[in-house]
Amino acid sequence: MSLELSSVKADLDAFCGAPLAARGTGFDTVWTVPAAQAHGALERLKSRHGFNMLADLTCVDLQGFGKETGAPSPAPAGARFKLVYRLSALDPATGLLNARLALDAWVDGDAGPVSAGDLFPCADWLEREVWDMFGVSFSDRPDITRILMYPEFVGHPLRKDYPIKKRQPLIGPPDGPPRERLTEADLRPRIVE
Amino acid sequence: MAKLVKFNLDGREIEAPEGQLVIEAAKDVGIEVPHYCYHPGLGNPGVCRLCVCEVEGAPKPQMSCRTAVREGMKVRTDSPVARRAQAASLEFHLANHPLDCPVCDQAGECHLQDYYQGYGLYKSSVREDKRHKQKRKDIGRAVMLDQERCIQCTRCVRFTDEVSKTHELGVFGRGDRSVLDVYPGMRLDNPYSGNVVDICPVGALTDKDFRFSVRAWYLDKTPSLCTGCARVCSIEVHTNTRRPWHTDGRRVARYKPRYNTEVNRWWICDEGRYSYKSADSPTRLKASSTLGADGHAVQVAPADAAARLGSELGRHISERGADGFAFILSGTLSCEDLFAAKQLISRLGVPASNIVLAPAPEQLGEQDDILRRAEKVPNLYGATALGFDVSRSLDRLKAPLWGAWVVDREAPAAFKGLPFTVWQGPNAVRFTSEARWVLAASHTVEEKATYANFQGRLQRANRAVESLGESQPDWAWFGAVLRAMGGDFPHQCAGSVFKAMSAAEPAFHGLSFDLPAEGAPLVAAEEAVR
Amino acid sequence: MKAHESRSYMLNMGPAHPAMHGVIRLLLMLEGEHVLDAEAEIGYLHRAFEKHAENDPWNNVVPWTDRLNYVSPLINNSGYCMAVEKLAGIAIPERAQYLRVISSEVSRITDHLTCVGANAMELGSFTAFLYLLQAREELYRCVDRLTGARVTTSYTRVGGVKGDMPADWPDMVRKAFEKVRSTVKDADGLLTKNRIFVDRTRGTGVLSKEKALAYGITGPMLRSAGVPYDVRRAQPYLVYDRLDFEVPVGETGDNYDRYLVRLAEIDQSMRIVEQCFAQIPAGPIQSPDQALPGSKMSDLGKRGMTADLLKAKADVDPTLEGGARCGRDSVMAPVPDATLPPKEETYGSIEGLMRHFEIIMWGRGITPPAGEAYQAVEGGNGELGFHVVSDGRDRAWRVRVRPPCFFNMAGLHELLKGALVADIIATFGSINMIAGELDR
Repeated sequence: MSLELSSVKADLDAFCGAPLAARGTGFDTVWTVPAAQAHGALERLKSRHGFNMLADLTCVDLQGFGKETGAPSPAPAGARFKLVYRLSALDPATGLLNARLALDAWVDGDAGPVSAGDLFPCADWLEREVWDMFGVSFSDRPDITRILMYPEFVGHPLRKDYPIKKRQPLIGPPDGPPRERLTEADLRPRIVE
Repeated sequence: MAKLVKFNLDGREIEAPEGQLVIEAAKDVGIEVPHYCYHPGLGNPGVCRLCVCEVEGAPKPQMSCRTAVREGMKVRTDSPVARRAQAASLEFHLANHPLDCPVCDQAGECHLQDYYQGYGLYKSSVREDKRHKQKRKDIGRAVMLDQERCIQCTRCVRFTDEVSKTHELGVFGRGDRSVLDVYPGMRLDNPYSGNVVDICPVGALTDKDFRFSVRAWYLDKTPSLCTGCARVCSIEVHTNTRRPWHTDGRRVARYKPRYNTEVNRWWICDEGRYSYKSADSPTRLKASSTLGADGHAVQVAPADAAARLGSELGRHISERGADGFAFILSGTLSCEDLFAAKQLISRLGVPASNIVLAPAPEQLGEQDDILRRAEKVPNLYGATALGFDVSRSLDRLKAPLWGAWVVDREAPAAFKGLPFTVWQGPNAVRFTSEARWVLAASHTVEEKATYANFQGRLQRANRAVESLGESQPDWAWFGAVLRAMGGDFPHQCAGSVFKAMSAAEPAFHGLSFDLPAEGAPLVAAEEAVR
Repeated sequence: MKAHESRSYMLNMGPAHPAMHGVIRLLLMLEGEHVLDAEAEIGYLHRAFEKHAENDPWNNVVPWTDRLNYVSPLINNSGYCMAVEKLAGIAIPERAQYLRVISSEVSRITDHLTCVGANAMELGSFTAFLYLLQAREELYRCVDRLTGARVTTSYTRVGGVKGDMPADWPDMVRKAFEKVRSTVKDADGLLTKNRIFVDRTRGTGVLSKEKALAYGITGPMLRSAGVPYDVRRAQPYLVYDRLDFEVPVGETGDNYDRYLVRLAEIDQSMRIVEQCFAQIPAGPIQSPDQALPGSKMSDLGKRGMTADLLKAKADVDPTLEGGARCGRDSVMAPVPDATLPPKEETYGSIEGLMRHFEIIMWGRGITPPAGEAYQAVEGGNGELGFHVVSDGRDRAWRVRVRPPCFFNMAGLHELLKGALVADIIATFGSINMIAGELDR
């Protein structure tokens, strides 16, 4: 790893106004940024420090963490969702990684930070997936819609309070009430005007 | 109060009462010492040789269940010598142990498995065939014996000698031929026989009722109470909601005793142990109903039922007078249920002579000096504290009756023809099909409820499973009818009822719904009643 | 001809469509033959992998990982297990590391063969498709011999791999490679200088370096655009740092370059496997004792007739969990609360049986300490990352798969803008979108 992260951290600490909590070393470095400054931090990392690829954006729901084992929850009081931005500083000429960095951002309620879509276009789909699975929204972006689940899906499935065996309300067919089984009439071809 | 001494345990300075066993002192500070034969309620013979510890100054390793704490002693339970001795003892115990885990009920709660993983993990040197003994031996009403799995810890022998005092079990033979068995001609049939299953650390003694029903690791455990008699033993309700097909849909798999210093210590009686079956029995009511015009039961939703019942009852009372209405209450009602019933009764104006609070007559029980009480009303003290007169006799009822509200017990045959009857309870009885109104109540395992036993100790049962179908707690029914008649009952949960009760009733002053695990005495706890 | 009024219209392609690999829906705004814009609608194969991973014990998630990129299942197996081992701090034996590398590379070859073959078929070359699938068939037979299954391999476990490779497996693979080499040569001859193929793939689906990085695209797509990023080189894992291989790089980032890059990678993967066979530390000496079938061992053990069972050699199906003792220690880390004992011990001694139970029963088994770990591997389509979070239980708190296809597909609309309808087929085929990985 050729990029020296300490100077990057110093710059980011200065930007955020307070030293960021850090853990991990080398390619596994993780810094915790306040959600409100997440976009600014990403922008800074991209423009000034060469983190040119958003490798991943995901969310972790920490409700009930450690309930059975007694492990302390890393969530600050009141926070439930944690966004993880994973950045890579890739040298396009050699194909080697100058650095890898993960940014943890604790979300207040379920309103996430400003969308990173203007910095990294892939963030559009990633944020849609986070919204779809966890219900964490992002601001300053076109309307957020579901990406993996169908539009009539109710709820956010990867949340910890969504039971895995939960049933969904029936939808369709479009010309009548939801029916558990298809009838012969459904299977006959219809001419649509 | 014993003198506290300081001693060194595993490098830590510990203070413990002088004379306390090292194994107990270790448990108090969270250090687990593996053991089989030691049991706080059954003595410490030191025969299993597993609880080895090294005591400075002693030439040989000592048994921590046979060693008392002394000032300045230095004990190590995790030294290399101790660990080697523990592993060696395990190896001896396992030398003839059959490969039964796939068919043994104890898997998941077996001390051989857990201690091997924790303290053993050696490679077995057994190259011989194992010794064969009797398997699947039916030795009693409740217990199945597998002699091969027994490690001769003698806990069960000491139980039948010291606790149940029935002397049925013994170890016969010597060396690796020693077997656990009942004495010739005897069977393990005492009223506490199920407890030997709990204390057996391996799968030698297993519960015939629970045999092959569901694996222990699928069970959820909830602390609760047994409402079989006035002792109200602390129990753990083991429920199976993850593999419902293993227990044929029955949610409650078994009851196990929970330690309670004052009430039941480590034991429960067989009658209480197997009373779990009522929770999922086919007689459970899932919905409330009323007798329609044609004499058939018509299902009614809970809110509707309360409203209609309330208005009908109110009409009858105003037409015929409250003196002809009776409340025949089961003894299994909790304090919250009784508190709500009290309010309903006073609203209706039913005279005190018409309140009978007792189990059905055929439920009078035996009493012994171990656990069982003849008094089968579990909430005896609570009911008395709330002002109910706990009477068995229906003779005190002011005849003639035009109606009755029977809760969770059989009613006399004469009640069949009464113009207005209500039956409320979890499990249907004969009278249920004859009553005009049937209200489905939830079972004790489905409720948070408090009970005060014959010692005046108030304990709390917790909810192990959701209420079946549309059943509701008894206090919710009383409260809903009270509201339908214009009364005030704003409570939506048992805790809220308790809070109101603790404010209104002197015996409950200062008590919180979050009772300690072993309960707390009622404020006016005098000598045990009856 | 008179000029007609022209309008753009929306054409729906999919989700059920012969050229849509798996199920995916493309909404195309067309004006005549030109694509003005394209939007992909995904999620048709969403099977809640991440939710299941939170409900099943750590090792039980491995069969779910097979179903991610189902044409290269062994890479997914390895990636997931490596992430959990990183979290739990388990170091796997060297032979197991080599076996994971070998199996991953064989999977990579099957992935590329499938992609190139299907791509060629859609452009009209059924022959090249069938040739390449014949080569893939040989490799599937090898994978079957090693793991017990062709596609749903579930080969790795937390702590190592399920079983050692049979003694004759390297020769079987070498023979399969002969077939692969000759088939690739044939396909190369059919396609690389083929007028039709070149016309349809050269200059279509062009992806620039900047766009690729902006969309987080990795793998052959990024390499075809000229960035030699390969996780095996940039962040070496397992034994890749000891192996000599090249990272093929394209220039223009068009479909043709991607085709060439994949063909070259097949070659490099074979090179890696052959080096591994040369370098792999020796396996155990097979004892000449008579082999007892596992069922017989289990029977005897249950009846307490355990004389000499521990000395016996178990003849067990390679798919049977735990496998035989010979070779156990070289492919499974000796972590007693995470790895199953060999069958001789499970059936032959109560201690082995108890240890087996203590790992399988709920609440027991491997319990990594609370924390998080991220492990990236080079999948068939790019950087395949596994982010695992543990709270100390016997099952995961969260498993996030960073699917390389997801990013490739996010950038698809850029590749299709301005293209012709005919180019959609060529481009879409060369992205190698696998719905299992995209939707999880």
